[in-house]
Amino acid sequence: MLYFWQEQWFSAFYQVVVLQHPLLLRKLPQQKMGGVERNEEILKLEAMEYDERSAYLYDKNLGEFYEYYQKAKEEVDNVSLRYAMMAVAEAKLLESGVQSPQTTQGGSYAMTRVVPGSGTSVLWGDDEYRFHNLLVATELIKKADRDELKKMWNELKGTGTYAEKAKQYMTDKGYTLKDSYNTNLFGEDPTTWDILSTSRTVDSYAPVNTYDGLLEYDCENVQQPALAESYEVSDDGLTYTFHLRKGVTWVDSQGRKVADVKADDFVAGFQHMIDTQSGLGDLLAGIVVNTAEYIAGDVTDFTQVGVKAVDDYTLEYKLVKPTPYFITMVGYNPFAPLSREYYTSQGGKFGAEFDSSAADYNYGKTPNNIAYCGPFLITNFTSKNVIQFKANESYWNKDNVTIKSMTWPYEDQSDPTKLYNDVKNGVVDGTGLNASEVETAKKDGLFDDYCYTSSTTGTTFSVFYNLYRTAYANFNDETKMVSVLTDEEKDLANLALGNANFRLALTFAKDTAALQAQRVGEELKNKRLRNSYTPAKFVSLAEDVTLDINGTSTTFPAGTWYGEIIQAQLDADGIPIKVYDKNADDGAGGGDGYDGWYNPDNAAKFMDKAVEELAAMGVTIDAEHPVRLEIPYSTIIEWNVKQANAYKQSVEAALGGRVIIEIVGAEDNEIWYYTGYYTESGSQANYNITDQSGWGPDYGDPATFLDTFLPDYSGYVTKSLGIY
Amino acid sequence: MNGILSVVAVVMLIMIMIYSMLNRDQIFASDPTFTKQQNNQKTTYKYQKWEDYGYLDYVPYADYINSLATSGEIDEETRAVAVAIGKTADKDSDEVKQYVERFTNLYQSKGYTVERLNAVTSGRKTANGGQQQLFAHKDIPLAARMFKYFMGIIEIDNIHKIENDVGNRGISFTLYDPIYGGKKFSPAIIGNGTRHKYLLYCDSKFPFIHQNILTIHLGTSYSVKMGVDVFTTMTTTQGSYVSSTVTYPTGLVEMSADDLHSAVYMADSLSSSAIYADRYTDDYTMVETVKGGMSKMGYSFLIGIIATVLAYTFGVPLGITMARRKEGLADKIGTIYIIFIIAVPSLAYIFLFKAIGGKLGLPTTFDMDTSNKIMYVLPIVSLALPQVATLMKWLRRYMIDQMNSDYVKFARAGGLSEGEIFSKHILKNAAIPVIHGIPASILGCLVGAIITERVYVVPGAGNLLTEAINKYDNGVIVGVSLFYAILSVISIILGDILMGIADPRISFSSKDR
Repeated sequence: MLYFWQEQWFSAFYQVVVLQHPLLLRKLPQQKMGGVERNEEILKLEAMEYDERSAYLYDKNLGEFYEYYQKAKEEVDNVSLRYAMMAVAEAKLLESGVQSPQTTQGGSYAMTRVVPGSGTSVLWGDDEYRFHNLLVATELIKKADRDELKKMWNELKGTGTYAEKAKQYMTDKGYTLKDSYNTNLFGEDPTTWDILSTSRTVDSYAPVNTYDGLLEYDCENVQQPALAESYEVSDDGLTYTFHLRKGVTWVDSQGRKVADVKADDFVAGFQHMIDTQSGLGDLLAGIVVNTAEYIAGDVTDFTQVGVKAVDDYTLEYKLVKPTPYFITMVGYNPFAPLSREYYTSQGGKFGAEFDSSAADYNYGKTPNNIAYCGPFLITNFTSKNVIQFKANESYWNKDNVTIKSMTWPYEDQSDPTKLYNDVKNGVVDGTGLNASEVETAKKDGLFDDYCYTSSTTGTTFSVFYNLYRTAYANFNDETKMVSVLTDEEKDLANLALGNANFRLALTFAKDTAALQAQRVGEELKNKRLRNSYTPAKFVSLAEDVTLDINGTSTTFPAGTWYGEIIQAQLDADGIPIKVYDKNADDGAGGGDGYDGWYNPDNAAKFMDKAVEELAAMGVTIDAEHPVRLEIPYSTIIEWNVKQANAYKQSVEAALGGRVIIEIVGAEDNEIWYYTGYYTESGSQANYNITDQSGWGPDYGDPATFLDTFLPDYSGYVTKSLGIY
Repeated sequence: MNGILSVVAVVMLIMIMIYSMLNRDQIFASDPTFTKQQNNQKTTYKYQKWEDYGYLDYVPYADYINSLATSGEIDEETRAVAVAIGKTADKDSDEVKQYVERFTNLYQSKGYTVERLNAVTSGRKTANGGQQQLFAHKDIPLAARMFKYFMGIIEIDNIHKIENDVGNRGISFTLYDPIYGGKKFSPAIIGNGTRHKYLLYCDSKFPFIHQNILTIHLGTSYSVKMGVDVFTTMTTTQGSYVSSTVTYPTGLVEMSADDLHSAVYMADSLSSSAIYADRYTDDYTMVETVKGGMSKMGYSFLIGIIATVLAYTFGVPLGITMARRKEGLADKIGTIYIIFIIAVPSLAYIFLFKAIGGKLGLPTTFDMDTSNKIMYVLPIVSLALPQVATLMKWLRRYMIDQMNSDYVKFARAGGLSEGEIFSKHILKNAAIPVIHGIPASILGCLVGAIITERVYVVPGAGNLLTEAINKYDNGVIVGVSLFYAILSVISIILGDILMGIADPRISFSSKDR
């Protein structure tokens, strides 16, 4: 019987018995605390209730940021002043060291068939994942042509003619455009197809192509009418009225008509979004009337919330206060419509009756359980295999769609050169290349002609420090990612990471460029580095602003970038971080493309300060009593493994043995994500340090970033710090 | 009989292991809904799911009061009062106290544990999911659970399956299936009151006559595919839906991918949506869609069976050649190849084949919707090559063993040529163990190949077990194990029969002995 199923049976056996069997999994013995006196501060923290402790740690570490930021948010009349004040608040956030921005997306070598600038490049929202108007060639686009097209885009931007001109250019150069698009975005199964019930970007890639919002950014970054034909704003800036397009229909996944799209569907969507507790509602708390109250349960009658269907085709939002950036948000997920009729036929309910675990609740479970009003229908979703789309024949704008079908093959990056080969063979139309793929491309001779450096995006990936770690295994599965720290080491780690200078020392010790070299190669290692949380050039001042910086009245002329103001505050406070460099970006100035944090000397200096401060609290840190900190990584992604090791090396070297980094490998991405990215609260954060998540802006105001660090469960990212 | 017993024993062992030794909290590990629940709601959600998946019997207090109301013991007004328990026990009104006591006594006397969770508050408000809860629960003993499992494997549909009011229950027989417009000859048996609308029907797909009377349940999935039986997961078709002209019960004709033959009863669905009302005349509205691809098992089997046939076509002659030219060049090359396959981990050589195939321009990913058959080449080759090696190895070894036996020396002494000795004597004897394995390798194809399928992104059945184990999907683990066990037993029995046919010395009837 030996010669059959060798592969199948052996692997199954191996997985069952050797790797997984619960009886074979043992927790590492925990050292008893016997006799050792525990630190007072720790005992005090431990005695607190979770919310109380979160509030205490937040005030201690982010209190200053909060104060400055609240003041900035109250400023709504003078937008320039608002931006400047926000920049100051951000400086305080960076100085607290609870997180350190390190990279953005893009900035790596890439190859593509997609015409540059044919999709929107606006930094916020997720219109960039709406693919219906892309121009895609049948062959890879040469770098020279790309540069030419990008130049053209810069010239034509705002004229509304780029798409036509680009098409012409492509034809002249002998390319053929096709009406299908294959992307590499499908890296893990979406947890839901209900766009209103998730804030995870990976869950929205596919569904965002199945519906239209009120307005949509076009390829020249101008907002165009989508489901709303027009809108007006009241004089006091508190009421937004949208006039909806008539004759738009909801269809099911097979394209059969379900209902008409009406203003009420946006109301239904808004309520459903809050019911699902996905965190999307937090975005609108304090903006749309009674949203925060409805989330908190103080208001239970949804008609009190500031969204109303005046009639079938008139939709009205009432705001709490004038919000200059409100209109930039309306294309984003929380404003998605929901077919009330279809939703209820799938067992959906609203308000207190909402129960997504009910047996008859099917909405969003598969692509066959959602209604469509966008350019595409999902015809096939096979788990870990493929997602396929075809054009929606009932789409209101179907005549202006360039892409008629899409295939998204499953790409989990477990094979380091698969994407490269897939792009070469046309399985997918474009990808960024990792270091080993760049080597292959050079060998194949494709590198010189086709590889370009991809542009960076608005998303910022940061390193987060857990201010008070309580989870020492994955929250969803206590046998996964079990900590190796002893009880004493756990206490020490929490005490040390509670100290701002210690966190800054850790950050100054991290050679981010060296880490990036592991991923994108030595040549491009600086390209994607980011130094501030909000991109330095996210917004700029429209008029002169005079601000009091640490007692000195300082005037910032119109046109000053957001990052320059952060820099002014950082310099005034004497914290050696460079978030804006005049010489960056070939002299254009900016905050990306260099490492403004890494400095081993500063690291040592801040470490000395931290050690001194901690010693005053009765905590000893030296080479004999090093702080051991855990950072999780995924063992199946080759560059991630290398990065984790590079991180360990650079930090340990710079801090002279006073900190030991334990890298903890996860056997697959899912398990890795459950340490941090998938967590629902800070108490579940299973790490001391993590670098797996980032934040992409949802609208065009720095608040989209800074709001994520608000306390009391209203900041989406605060939980990454182990609090709330 | 022994076979059935051993299958049962295997499943029982596995059930004992996973249901009594594994921490039952782990089944929630991959449930996105669970992670969003908070406070008391999280606790009751757990009990609800444990009940759904057969761990225990769970009775919320509200259900008990409602049952009193439906049985007529209390009226609506009393019900409304009695059901509203206080935030803590001492805040209950007297009336509530009385019913809570009845509830507690009743269920405690039945051996249940009654639990009360006080409201969780933050400030003055009730915290999210922090509503007070009262419920009783009792573990279902493992023996009862196993009995229930084995009894439930085969479910027979009948006209009393649906409890709701469905009008006239009964079964009707028609020669002209209304789905085809009522004119085409196509016999069908249609039930009312049954779970499936169509109990027996004909269509153009192999094997042309289909039934819904018997349904196989191997185990309901929790996290791999929530609420779906693993046998269904293995056998339902995948891929893009395919539309054709369909006549709905209302007479509406349209292009649709709905498979009306799969219609299942769903209470009150007809009135819930205009889509249903336009198309259906009763509550049999839950239909599946017709899809273009094959099932998980289908893909695994197709790839596996071709690989197996190829393996035998090449492996057997190569093995024979190696044995005949022992120590010759062919033998040496073959041995190197065999050692390579044994020594190199399967993941590594599959990647190697993939790299070589990719260089030759073969597609390395599987696309269900193309008619391009070339994409099958690499997975098949990757599966076949190691099988060839193992076949060569064993056949060569058996034949060389036989070459030294006395009967070969005798035949050689008797003047038979080497060719005759090999084909008429040695091969016949050496082939017997190989033949015994044929059914196993054919049925084994149904199981799928874990690594090959993952590397080439084939939507096959191979990773079901590993995925289920990773996600603590116990229902699937039991179901798949049962399926594997049955396959093993059948293949051994078939192997024995085949061996009996091939070797006249073996007989299964006792009187021939």
